[in-house]
Amino acid sequence: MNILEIKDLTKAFGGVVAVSDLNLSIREGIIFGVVGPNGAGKTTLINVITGVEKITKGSIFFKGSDIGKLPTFKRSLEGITRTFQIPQCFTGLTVFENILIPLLLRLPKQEAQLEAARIAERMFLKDDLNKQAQMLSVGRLKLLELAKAYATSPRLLLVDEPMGGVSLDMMDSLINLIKSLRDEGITILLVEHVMKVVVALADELVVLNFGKQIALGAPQEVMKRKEVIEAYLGDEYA
Amino acid sequence: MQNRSVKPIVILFVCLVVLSFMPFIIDPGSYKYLYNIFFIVNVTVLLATSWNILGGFAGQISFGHAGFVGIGAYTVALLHYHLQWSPWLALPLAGVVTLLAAVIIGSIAFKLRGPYFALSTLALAEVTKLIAEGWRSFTQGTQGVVVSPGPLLSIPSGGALYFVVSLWLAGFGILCALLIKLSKTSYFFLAVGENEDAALSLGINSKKYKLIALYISSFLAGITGGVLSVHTGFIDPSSGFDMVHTVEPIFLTMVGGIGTVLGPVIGTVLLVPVGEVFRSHFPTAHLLLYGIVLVVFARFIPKGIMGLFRKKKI
Amino acid sequence: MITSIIINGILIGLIYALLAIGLTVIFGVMRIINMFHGEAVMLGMYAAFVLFDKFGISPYISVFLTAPIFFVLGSIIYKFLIDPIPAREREITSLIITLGISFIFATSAMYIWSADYRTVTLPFSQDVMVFIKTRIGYPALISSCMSAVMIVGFYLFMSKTYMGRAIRATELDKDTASVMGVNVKWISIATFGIGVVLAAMAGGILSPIFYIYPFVGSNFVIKAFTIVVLGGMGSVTGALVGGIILGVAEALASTFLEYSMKDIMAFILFLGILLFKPSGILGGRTRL
Repeated sequence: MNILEIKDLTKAFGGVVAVSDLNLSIREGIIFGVVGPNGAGKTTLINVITGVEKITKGSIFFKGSDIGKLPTFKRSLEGITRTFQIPQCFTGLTVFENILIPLLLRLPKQEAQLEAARIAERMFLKDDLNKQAQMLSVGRLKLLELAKAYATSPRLLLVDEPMGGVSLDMMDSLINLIKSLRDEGITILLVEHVMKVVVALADELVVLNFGKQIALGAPQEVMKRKEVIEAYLGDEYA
Repeated sequence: MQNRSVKPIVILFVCLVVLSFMPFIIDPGSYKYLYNIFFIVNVTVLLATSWNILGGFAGQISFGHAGFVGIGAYTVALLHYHLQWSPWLALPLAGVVTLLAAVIIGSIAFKLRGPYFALSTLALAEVTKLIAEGWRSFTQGTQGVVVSPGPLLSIPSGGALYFVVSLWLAGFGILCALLIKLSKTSYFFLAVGENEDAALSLGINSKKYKLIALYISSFLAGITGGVLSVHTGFIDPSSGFDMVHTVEPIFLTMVGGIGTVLGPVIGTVLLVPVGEVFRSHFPTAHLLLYGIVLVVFARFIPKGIMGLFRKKKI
Repeated sequence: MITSIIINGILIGLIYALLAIGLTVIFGVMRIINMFHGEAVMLGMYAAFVLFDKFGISPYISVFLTAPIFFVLGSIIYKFLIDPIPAREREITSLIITLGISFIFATSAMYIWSADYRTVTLPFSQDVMVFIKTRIGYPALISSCMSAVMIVGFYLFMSKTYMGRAIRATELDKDTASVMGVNVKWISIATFGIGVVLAAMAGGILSPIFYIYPFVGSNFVIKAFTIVVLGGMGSVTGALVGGIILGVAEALASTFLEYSMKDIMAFILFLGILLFKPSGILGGRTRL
């Protein structure tokens, strides 16, 4: 069963086409990797799926229903949540409050507080619970970013560059964490440019270049294709 | 949990009841000037609290509270002038009419994010003032409107009555702020004020919460205007839409502690009496003082007096 | 009749455009709304008045003499009061700080020069020329032409000089600009100074045709905001178009509607544009 279907999706900014006639089907319960060089339209894809940007042409179906016109917050309530490449936390609030806020929208206050503590523990943020978010390191902010998104109980989680600016140790725990989220049944769309990470994590991979799909399939196999190597390294290496 | 939310409300109520006995202890007849200051303090608490709910709780800076106050003041005055309503009876309507204006401005200003809201509220304040000046057949223009409040429930109008009414209105404002602060809504306000993109991505309908904050705030500011026009007994465009009603609540909230329930109260109780004395000796110098203190606090003590004492909210 | 209204509208619109450019540049680069923009205009007017009154220097010359002072004033305010604010609080705190500064300036002006209305009366203040059946006062004509020249000059500064390009680069993308070797911090400080200078110069140029009083700034700040929103925030060309639209709209309103409607036009345009075309009439496409 496909959790997300994208049909003939085009997103243009004025004359610049960021995503062009894209067709994607994402099976439920997998990690779906999206890679491509800078400007390939990866973040735009996330913005369009979450409704931050309006679709120019085409449609998006989530669990079978057309969500192309829903505002961002409704999509989140339906089960589509994202993380941001540059963490967008409530920097003046504590880690606990950051995780609590999405839970309060969905649960009674007391349950939400218990759940927030549980999520913090699960996301290795237990020691930072009462710290202000602005005091956290980049790596910890990335964790908080994931924790907040996880607290919305998403069915589809769009993760934008989780490894950017993260130390190597932290990278391993993030990889395990993202895997465990998938094993819990959350479908994950992962945008990441650290190839090692994508190949380790993704069950299926799409490569974008200039907003177009140039390859789709199992990660190991896709990365060997001529057009993918060309897109990344230029013609002379192909 | 329940206890924790009830306690501050009980304390507020007890304070209000105790303060209501003030006229029996200090005679309003012989201390007219003092009661005048009491009244101004109460009304300003209400106005600053109103601004803080929008600017402090929800992070939407209003530069238009003078407009809300003016609309409230003119609602009472014009209902009295054209339809001979008792100003007391018109008081709740001052809030309602102001809220209607806020519905219009909110639907325009919140289409966009960023500084547009602050600018739109400023525009609202100026437009309403120009209308009050220009629509002479309805508002009497710059000539102004006289309001003569009769007795309220057979209590003669005077220092004691104004004190008690304004005290309970201020209490009502604080209660509103307290109820928000104790509810889940305060977290959504905070989230929207802190980072709207993040709030949206987590499922928070940011526009809804901004509008709620605006509606509550404008209602309270409209009531402030209404009770001011009852007390002054006269309203004209320059007094009703005085820029001071925009700047004073910002100033007092910043000094007391933005985003806290007690901040605007502390700021007002500490500074308005000083300001009043200052004003009577050096007219308009208080504006200079406001400007300097505002800059100093915003720049160096952004959490205000409340931030110096406590870490936690309320 | 209608042509003369429009010609007068365009003339005043050119001055309005100059009035708005300082605001739009500061907003474009720093995403800050400078609430004391109107007071900077007011100070520019008083500076022109004082130099004219005491030394007989024409406002059209004195604006250049006082420009460095206003540049320093703006830069200092930005460097010490706005730049140190943490980025996440800057949008709100800068609104409040600049509002506070506007009160400090307006009230100080009140103490220094009293609430009296002042005027700068030039030798040719009463002279009028006729152009396509339109009576145009000399001061208004000179002020407009000078505004036009300064707008063009500023446009060239922004497009041709290193400094101007650095400002635009910062406006587009701070991080990239800084990687390319632009000192973003100093560019921001300088931009704020330039914004204040432009406001003060507009004030000086306006002084022969407007009354000067301490709270005059609040009249201009709304007009400037309206123009900036009309033209699209951060756009110089937009400010020019927006200024002319506002000038013509006001001229039409004061002729065909009640005179008091003139001042409402700015707000109506402001709210109208927010309602129907929030990205500005040029659709936010222009970068300069």
